[in-house]
Amino acid sequence: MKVKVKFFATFRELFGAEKEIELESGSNIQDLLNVLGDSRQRRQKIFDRSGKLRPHIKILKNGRDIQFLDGVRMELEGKQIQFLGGLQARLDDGDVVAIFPPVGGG
Amino acid sequence: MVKGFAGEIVRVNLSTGEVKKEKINEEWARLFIGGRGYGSKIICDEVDPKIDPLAPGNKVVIATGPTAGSNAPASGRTMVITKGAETGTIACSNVGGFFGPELKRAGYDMVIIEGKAKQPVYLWINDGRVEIRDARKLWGKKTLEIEQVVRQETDEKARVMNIGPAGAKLSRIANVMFDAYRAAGRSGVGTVLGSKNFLGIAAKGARKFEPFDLAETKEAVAEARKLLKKSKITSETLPKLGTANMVNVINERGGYPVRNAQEAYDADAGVTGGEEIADKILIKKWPCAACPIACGRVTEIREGKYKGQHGQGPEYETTWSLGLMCGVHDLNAITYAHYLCDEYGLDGISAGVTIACAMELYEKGFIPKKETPFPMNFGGGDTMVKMVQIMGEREGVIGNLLAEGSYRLAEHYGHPELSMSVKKQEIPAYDPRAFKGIALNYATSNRGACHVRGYTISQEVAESPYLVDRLVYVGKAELTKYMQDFTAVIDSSGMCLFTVFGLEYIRAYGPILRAITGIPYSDDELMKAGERIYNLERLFNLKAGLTKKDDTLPPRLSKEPIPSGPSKGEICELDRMLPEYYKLRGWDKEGVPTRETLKELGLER
Repeated sequence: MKVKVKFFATFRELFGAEKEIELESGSNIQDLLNVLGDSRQRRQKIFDRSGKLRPHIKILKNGRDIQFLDGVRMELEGKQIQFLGGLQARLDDGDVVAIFPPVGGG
Repeated sequence: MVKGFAGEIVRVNLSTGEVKKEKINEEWARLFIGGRGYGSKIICDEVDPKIDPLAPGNKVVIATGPTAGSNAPASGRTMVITKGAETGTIACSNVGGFFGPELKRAGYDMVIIEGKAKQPVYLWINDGRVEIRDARKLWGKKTLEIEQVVRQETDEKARVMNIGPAGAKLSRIANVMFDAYRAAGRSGVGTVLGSKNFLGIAAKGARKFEPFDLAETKEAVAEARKLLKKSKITSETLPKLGTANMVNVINERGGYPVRNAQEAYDADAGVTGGEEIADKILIKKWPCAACPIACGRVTEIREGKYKGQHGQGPEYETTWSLGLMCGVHDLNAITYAHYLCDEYGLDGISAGVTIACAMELYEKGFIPKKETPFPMNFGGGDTMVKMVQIMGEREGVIGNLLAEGSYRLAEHYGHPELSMSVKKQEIPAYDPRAFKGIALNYATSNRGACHVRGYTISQEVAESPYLVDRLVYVGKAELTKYMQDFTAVIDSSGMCLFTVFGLEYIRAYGPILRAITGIPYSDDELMKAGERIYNLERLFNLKAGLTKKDDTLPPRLSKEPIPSGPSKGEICELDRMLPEYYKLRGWDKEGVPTRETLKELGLER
């Protein structure tokens, strides 16, 4: 499947303005970021040393902050568990992902 | 005695020519901090809320905060407080630059302008001395020319604030320009000065800023500066891309009003954004006094019809209002129109939104063709520029009506619902359907539709200091109240709202204010002061005749679903937030502060 990724503000210096990325079906945002971090410099722009997403980087899937997307629902020991979206948010063919550095003001 | 303040206010009666000096009221400094809070207290005590804003009985307070003149980050803000000509509400317009600290060096924390001069005048405040000067030959001139001539007539190093042709011609959306390029833009504060035949003020002085505790001030300021350096928003994004970094941010969420908010997304909005501004027209960044952020843009148009024109801006707000709100993608035309707004002394937000309103009225056939000097369709950059010009000059039937702002324009043609305004003040660049917190703030802001008197975008978008879901209603009443009260503290301190992206909480401001003033208010007491200021402003509006009915949104921005884009289908149901908001504020169901609330805040009569 293919997703469109748009980069803004200071991210454009390293990633360009827009890319189309081919991913295996069932991929999520984390998988996409792993593909995007294909050089040391690019990886460092996205992740900190421990491999966590850098704070305040904004990722939108189709205009929604990934934190607020519904993620995987599953049953664990008889209880309904719903993982939040975030990096686990699932991607589908044709999705548009927008990535921003920390932004504000105006 | 409280420190940080110059200690004196100068009161100028333009009708009699009398100049009086008054001491800063220490009790008020504790209860209302300074700047917006203190100035609002003066207006609320001295101006009849029911008065015609353009009558001589209205007054204008130009107020600095206790931090002005210090090294506290971004502490160069000045407030212009009056009863607004556009809104009829209490108005407080906040501006950067260098004027505020200079006024304090010249000996005064605030200037109160009252009455009406027989002929145009300006004020020259030179190290304590106050002189009323003839301004007849400057009346109605463009703002930049006035600023230069006034400096020549007084002192080349004087700092100047002045109105332009829009204020002189009593346009309802006239601003006051400070240091040539910074605007106290909103609510028609420049119009009120125009009605008084008052051109502006030049100030210069050499008095030293004296904090209560120098060592503690240094420590608190250093800590705040460290936080601003640590924040990527204030140390990277705002300096690099200016406020217009937000164009793509908001557009990609589908909350960017397009063509008079008939839509909320434009696939090509980026061509008017901060990235393009940096690439195409930016010469250098520009900081206000004591500001480590430097979001101001010094720019020059390098190609096309407006090549060679230069100035400052556009900002996020004006690149939108003069841009996509009018369906315009031409960054050069937008930039030139921004320069024109500054030179005419027009509020750039209200100017653009009013033009967008006129374009919709025109396209829908509500403006008779014989009244329009040229076709006024959406999308034309040159058309939009021409509309700013006829608005600034009040030229012809349409120019004259444009100068009145969108509400009066749309009402004239029988369609007030097409004015994207609250309390007659035009909305800023966030579609309230896509951000429920900012929607509640637009509806309840004491000066009409406004983003910076309760900037919930901090939490709904910028994750500063935390992120909430922009589309949910739950929690937004509390968030809005909190940001409104917090902002009242920041505005009254004299510091810039943008410091909030690094300082985040009141605990970073409290130490600075305590060290500078010597007033032992706790952080909680400061937040209570913010709440007191908010309620004081609300009381003025209620006495002016506003009611719960005015806490609303235009029908389009509440009931019409966003037609396309990432926020497709969103509406805004204010009723899901407003009752809770009133309750949290300690107001009754009609939005009136209860006796208990006023007692708790020390505002009972």
